[in-house]
Amino acid sequence: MVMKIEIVGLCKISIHETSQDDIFFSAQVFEAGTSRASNSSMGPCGRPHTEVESGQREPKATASVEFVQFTDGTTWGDSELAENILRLRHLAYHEVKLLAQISNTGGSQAFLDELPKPTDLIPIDSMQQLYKEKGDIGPVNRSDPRRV
Amino acid sequence: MKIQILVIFAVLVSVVSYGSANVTRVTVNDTSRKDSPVRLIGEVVATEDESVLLSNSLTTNRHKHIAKRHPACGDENRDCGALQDQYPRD
Repeated sequence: MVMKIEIVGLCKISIHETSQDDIFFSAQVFEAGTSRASNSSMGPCGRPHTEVESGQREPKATASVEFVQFTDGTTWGDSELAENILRLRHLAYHEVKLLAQISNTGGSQAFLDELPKPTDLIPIDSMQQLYKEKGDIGPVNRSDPRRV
Repeated sequence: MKIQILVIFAVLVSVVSYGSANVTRVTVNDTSRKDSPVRLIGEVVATEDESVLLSNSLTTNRHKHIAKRHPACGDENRDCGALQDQYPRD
């Protein structure tokens, strides 16, 4: 899901942010009729000290859902805004498949040699953290790539 | 002894009221398209350390959900109502 967020009058600068949230690798599907909370922090961005600095604007915050992909692959909204997050998902998916392949052909040690390599991919980072926390390859191996 | 306790209490109250006076809360206005499958309810809080906290509650509509869709429902803007209700969800 991609959201656009605009905040004016609360900081010295206005905030125009695009929030991207991919639950493809999560165990939980965002089902119909349910709610979930989303919290994020931005800044520090400096508070306006005078009305002139803030452009005499009333504090205002707007957010809009711009793109959603359903679990059957169909989408709603502006797919151009989702190009980056879908590319990252594609890369993560292939990395997970590569790790599985290495584990199958080279065994546990080969898997452990490959796993800690630096990555910006959140699902792989989650697997690295899981291994660090548990100190055991079992939970990592048992984790379905869609459940990382 | 009673006087000392009262003084400490007074200091605590002043710190709390100072903090709350400098926090600004703004309700988030949902400007999503009318047919958006997700509705937003949230607020933005500007805090003492000059950061901004965004808190949103995301709610899916009944028939436009981020779950398995009946193939006959097709994509985006089509609401297929009862047909979708019969389809198993993930």
